[in-house]
Amino acid sequence: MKFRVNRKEFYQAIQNIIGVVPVKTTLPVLGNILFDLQESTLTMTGTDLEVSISTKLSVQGERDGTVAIPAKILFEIVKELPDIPMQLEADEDFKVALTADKGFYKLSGESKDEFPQISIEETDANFEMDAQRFDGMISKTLFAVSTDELRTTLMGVYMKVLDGELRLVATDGHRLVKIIDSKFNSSGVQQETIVPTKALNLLSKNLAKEETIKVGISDDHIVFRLSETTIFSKGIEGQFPNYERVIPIDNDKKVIINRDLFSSSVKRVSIFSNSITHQIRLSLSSGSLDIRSEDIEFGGEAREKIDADYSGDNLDVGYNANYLIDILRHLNSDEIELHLKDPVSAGVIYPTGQEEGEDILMLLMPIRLNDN
Amino acid sequence: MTASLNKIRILPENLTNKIAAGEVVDRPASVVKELVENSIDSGADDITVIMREGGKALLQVVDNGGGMTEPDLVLAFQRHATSKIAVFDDLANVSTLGFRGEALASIASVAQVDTRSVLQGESSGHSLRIEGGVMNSVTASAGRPGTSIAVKNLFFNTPARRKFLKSVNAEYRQILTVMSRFCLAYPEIAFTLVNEDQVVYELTSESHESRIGSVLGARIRKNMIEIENDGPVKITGFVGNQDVVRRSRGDQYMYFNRRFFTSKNLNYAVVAAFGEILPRGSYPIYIVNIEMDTSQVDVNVHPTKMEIKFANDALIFSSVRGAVKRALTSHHVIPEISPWTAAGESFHKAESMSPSSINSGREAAASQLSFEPGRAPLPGWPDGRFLKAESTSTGVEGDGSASMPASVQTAANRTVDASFERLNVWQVHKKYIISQIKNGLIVIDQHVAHERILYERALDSFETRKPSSQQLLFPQIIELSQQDYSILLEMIPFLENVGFVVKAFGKNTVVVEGVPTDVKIKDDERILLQILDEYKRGKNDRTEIRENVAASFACHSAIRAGDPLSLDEMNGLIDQLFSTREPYFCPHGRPVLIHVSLDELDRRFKRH
Repeated sequence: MKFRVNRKEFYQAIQNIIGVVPVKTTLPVLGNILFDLQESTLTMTGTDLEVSISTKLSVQGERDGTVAIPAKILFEIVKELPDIPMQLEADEDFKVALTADKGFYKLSGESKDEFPQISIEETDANFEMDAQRFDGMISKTLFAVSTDELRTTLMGVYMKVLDGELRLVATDGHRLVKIIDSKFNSSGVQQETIVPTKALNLLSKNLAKEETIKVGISDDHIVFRLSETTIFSKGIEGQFPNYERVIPIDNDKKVIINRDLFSSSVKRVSIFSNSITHQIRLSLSSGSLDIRSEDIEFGGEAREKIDADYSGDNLDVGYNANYLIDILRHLNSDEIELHLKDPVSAGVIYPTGQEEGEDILMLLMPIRLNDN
Repeated sequence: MTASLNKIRILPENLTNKIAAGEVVDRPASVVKELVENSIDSGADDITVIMREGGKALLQVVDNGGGMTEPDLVLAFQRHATSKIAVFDDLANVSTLGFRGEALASIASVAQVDTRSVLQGESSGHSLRIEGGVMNSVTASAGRPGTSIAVKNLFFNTPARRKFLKSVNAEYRQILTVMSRFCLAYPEIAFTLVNEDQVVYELTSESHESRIGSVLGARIRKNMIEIENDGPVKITGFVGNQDVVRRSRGDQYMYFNRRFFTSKNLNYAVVAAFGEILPRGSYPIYIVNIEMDTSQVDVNVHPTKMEIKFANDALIFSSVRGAVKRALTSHHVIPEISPWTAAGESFHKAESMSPSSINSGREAAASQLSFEPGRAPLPGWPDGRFLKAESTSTGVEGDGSASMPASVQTAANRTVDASFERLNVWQVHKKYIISQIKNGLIVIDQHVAHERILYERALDSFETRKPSSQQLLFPQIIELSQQDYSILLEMIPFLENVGFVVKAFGKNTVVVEGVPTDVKIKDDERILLQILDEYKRGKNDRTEIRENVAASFACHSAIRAGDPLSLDEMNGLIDQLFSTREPYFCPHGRPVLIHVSLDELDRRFKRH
């Protein structure tokens, strides 16, 4: 295999797929990227066996061939090179030579036979999505995904495609995000799956210049087809929890707050909260919201009062400040609505005025305060 | 036919002497054991046990067994009356459960006992009331075939004995334990347990596997592997794989001819079969029934018949171990480990755990510089109690007599000037934190240190107020055995004091609605079960309950060996550690940190 390529595009392409390469693996060959050159088209593929990504790049091909190249070293050297043309050549023993200007770099690749075969299955259920719109939905949900390896079904975003509706749900057991695109055209597809975080992160990285994504979905996998890149992911096995059941419908204490004011106030107050629990207390009374924290161990205390559109009974509720900040950061509206019932059940947060065709709600479990 | 129905005889004097005397009945649970054994021996396949106030007020066992004739009924309550052995030779061939012939008499002498018995095929039989050993006359009585014995006001005439009984709850749990032993040994018998007019369980005749599910829960049933051994020692039963090992010796059932007994030796046979895959300090679940020629055993070692003497201990041991090992291996529970790797591994373990070996090579570690597992406590230990600790930070495995090099002393013995330079803190092997201090260096066990911090915080929160609790979006439902359920209910106030929100959810299940905010709790169910086991293992003395819950909470919520820590986290941990009241020892008595003085280092490098 031998080809010439411009460093800038080459680096961009590696950058887009390097995220899939596992940092630690029991299967060393997965630390490679598979290079496959056919005439002037270079296809680069990486996988961790769960998620695979493959991207195409136009190069000046000189000799066709296939070889697996260590991803980390290649990525680091290309990153440090200036934007100049470079040449990459692999011999029969899978020795890879990289030449750029006056530099010469040699690394040991591996045979393509060592690299796992990635077969992207065709699916019956296919549809198209607006890339930017979907990217926005992903970024609003991913933060709530769990990292708890004991509950694997929470380690991804639940995706449900219905006629005229696309729905994403993420939760870690303490908070939950549900977002619905109600103007979605599913082309008759009805399917659901849990997409691993890693696949969505990779997708999001590759969406910047895309307009439309073609999606194929089945019970156990999902494929995102972009203009030059294809991402294939196994769905997470298991049953996503019954999230509809935990979304309260009788939260009658409703308050409207300016999002920026609220968020920056919570940030300041949380500096004085216990560094492990990040616990803050919200006290609602007619027309205002008190935000307080104290750290008994170190004697710190903070308190702020902001205006709030509220006319119900007084209510105190505790939250983990970090969770609250996360939620406020991922909403776009000027104001938010917080719907509460009592100090121990879920609070629901909506943007005031949903965006066109979008229906989003975020749910946060309180911390039971010690005086309750 | 009528003659042979009179089954009960007075044992000849010489035979009664051969049987060691001893009280059989010491608490309600032992009454249940004796009565149910009698019911099983009478051929019953449906047994109901009814109790009130933990059996103190009422214990009634109703069966559908053979029943007794009028003379049998009277004779049954005389000492050493039994239907099961007549002469000494028979004693070698006992295969029924009860045989000492003293149970009913003992019970009748300390309680008010109402007995009604109807022979099979008859519609009327006889009733007899005995109060404190005084027999009333036998009256005719109608009823269904079988025997019903109601024991009321146990120890009513021996107030000292009665005072000795534990709380209603504790006695109730003892009865549950005894009943579980029967239920698991006799799946073909239908058992019903009624407590305070409420049905605790109603088990129908079922397969052994399905019975395990009914008694121990579905999770355990799914993880049980069947074991068997043929030959002179026939072994049947089930053993739990390593997914269901417990932190305490619950759920270990050893039977001889379906008679429950305890044997340290045979328990070790099961543990030995597990070998290295069994985590330290955990216990496998098993139900093992040994069947063999009864002439090879002496069941008569103890009046309550909990111990058995085998003529050929070694054969039984290897049969049990073999049966368990085969089952585990065939289910791929035990990976094959070559002796070489095993040896290499254990060496590595010893090396990485010994503080002196950080800078010393393999040879040095094995030479006189390192410490050998010595026999005598070396100077430097304040007293001998650490030698009993399950694992000390020096971690020498084996007989537990871990020793320290004379020069590496626990900080307790010296005043450590713990003024750290905040940057001079390192984590080694994701297990220990090393820091430079003024006159040397200290090594902190990260898990034990955090354990100490959490322990004191938990104790404090008992004194002050309820801590906050992160509510869960998806409350976790945990299924327990009847016994564990009853214990957990008792623990709830204490659990709430450390931040759990746990509620009873009916039929042996609880629901966890909240977890403590200040610890990262991932597997709520496992942590709760571990706290429960720890609690069971400890003394249930009221004053110690708090410390117990606090200690087990701390132990299972603390960061573990293997958790990576950032510089900030390490400094935070050290700060918090030194603000505790007793930073040098964990609640279980293990050292939190050890101190290596500069003098000592100098001496070792031969600078003096």
